[in-house]
Amino acid sequence: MDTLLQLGHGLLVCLQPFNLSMLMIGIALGMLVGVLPGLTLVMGVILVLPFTYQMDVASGIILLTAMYVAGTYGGAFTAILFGIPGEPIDVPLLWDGYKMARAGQPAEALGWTLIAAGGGGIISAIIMVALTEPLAEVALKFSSPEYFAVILFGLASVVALAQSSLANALISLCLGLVIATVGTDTTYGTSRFTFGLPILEDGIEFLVVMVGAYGVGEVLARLERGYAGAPVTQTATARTELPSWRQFAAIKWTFIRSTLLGNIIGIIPGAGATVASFVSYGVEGQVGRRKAQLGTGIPEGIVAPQSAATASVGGAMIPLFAIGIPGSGATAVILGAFMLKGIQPGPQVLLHSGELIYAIFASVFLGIFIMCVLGYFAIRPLVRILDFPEAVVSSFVMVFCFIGAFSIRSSVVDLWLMIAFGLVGYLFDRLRFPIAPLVLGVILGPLAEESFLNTMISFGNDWTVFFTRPISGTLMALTCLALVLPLLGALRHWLWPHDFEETPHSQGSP
Amino acid sequence: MFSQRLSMALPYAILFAIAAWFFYLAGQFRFTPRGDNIGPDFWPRLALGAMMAICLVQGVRLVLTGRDDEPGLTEGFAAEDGAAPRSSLLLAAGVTLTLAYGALVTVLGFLIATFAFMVLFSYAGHLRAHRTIWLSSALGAGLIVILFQKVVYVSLPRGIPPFSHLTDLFLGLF
Repeated sequence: MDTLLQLGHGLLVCLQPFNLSMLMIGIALGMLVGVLPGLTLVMGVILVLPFTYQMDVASGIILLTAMYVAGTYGGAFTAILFGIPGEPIDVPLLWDGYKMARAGQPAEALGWTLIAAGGGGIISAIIMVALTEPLAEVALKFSSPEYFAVILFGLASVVALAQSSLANALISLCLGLVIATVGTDTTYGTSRFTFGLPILEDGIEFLVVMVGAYGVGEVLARLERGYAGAPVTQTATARTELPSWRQFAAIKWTFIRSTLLGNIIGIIPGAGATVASFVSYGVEGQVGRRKAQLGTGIPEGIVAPQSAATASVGGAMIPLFAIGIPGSGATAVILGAFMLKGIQPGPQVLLHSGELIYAIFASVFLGIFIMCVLGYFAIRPLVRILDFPEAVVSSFVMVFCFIGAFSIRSSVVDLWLMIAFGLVGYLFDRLRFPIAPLVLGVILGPLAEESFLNTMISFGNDWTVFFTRPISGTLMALTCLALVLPLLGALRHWLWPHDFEETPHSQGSP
Repeated sequence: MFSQRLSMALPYAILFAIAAWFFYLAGQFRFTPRGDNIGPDFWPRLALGAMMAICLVQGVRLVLTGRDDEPGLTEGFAAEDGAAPRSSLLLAAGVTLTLAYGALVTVLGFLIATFAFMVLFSYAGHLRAHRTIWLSSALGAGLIVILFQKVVYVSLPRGIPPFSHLTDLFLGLF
């Protein structure tokens, strides 16, 4: 009852004119980001971050969260109607959604997407509200060894779920941790890797790394390929037709299974909407009632990835608010937005700033509702954005990256650093080094170092304390498991490569 | 064949060398030790040491086997996305324009530098719709300056005279 009351208060905060307008803008931007193939969801959220500097924390986080929620849905339109996935999340929608559209049922396909995104999102948001507080109460008992173990587990999960090789992901993470050490050390006051530059004494802002590596790096990578994309036609006839209750009831288990799966995947640090979407489609291909027909244009192939992708949002919010560990790339940016306001999300914030957290919770519910309404009515103008040349859109993205660098300290050094990290991001993309571990390393590095140092000081340099305390020991074991399991997979691949040559990239795709 | 393996291992060799250099620099940090407590060099050296070890293992493995790790979950999409051929010329144009922007933004000011960048970057992307390019760049640069200078209050470079006069003239209109 108390939770519902707080949620009600949160809703009132969301309905304040400025917050509501931020919510609407966030949803519109998130859907645009989802539609545009050159702009990823994380990149979009990062580009909007500078706009939140002058806002109060609630408005800023509501804007970013709304973008995050809507970004998991917007790309479905172009994936289904034109076979253009705006995001990696939307790739599984090509296999059934696009086929259904080509078979003359685009409106029905979009209807299934809307139901999946709305329903999956709402259920996931309910789970988020139900689980965050109990988990935060457990986290309140944490001491520095437990915090270090939690952060390490978060970093290890990101690495283990990396898109390319485990080694590359670990290198990327280590680089992020080193970048985070630049500046004046808080314990000894020692200058580290500053090379005599006064501005580096304050450290390298994670925003510079994020904007550069994701934004500039990605634009350069797409420019190199000449912004190759399929031409878009016939946007004028786009509309949505909702399925009947009977049709929905026939696939309810797909919906429930995918929503829960998406939520659980969202909770795992580092595994965001893309992983949820792919895994859910893969699971549907394994256990679904009509698994043999998957890939021929059936609703299950739309509902499974879409409900999982949107449900992952609520899941990713749970560790962010309960422990202060981001569950996905976008929540890492939201964590950054909190930190820019001097707030470290975690159990203390939930305890002392409950109103703020419940306002954000309420914004997720409200955001999903508005997203569905907007998705139903504003589909035509939304997909028309694809008529705009990508070269122009990319030039705007670059300029927003430049502003992102300027807006931190109004220093041209930050601009140069951002450009440098942009080139690093491009090289990483080219050499198949994942960027997410680098960014997570930069954000979580200082927290990891601080909790590690505190533990060492408090426990007389006894590192075994991480393994002998029950919670930290369990988390350290999970960390080892997260790192060892993919390592075993890689070892198996290395020893018996022929086992893998038959089915590369299959992952449930037809 | 062997030279191909060496080129595959080259990025790891470069990263190893960079990490080794920074590992050395971390050893030069000046601080007063506090009893047995670990110093400010410990954490960066831990990360750099791990990075060097992974680079070494990966580099040696590539030289010996010539095989990279298995692709990941979303790599199929990346491969599909990468169907168009790469153009070094386009990349060079993008990088040059970005570096030029960094060098000139404090001279020309944000307004002029951004307008010029947007125009040139659009042309670099093989777009030849002249009216769209010039109009979107002019509107984009103008609106961004107004939004960030007058609404969000982010301090953007004005440039040096005579370019700063144009920035002031433009901002004076609003």
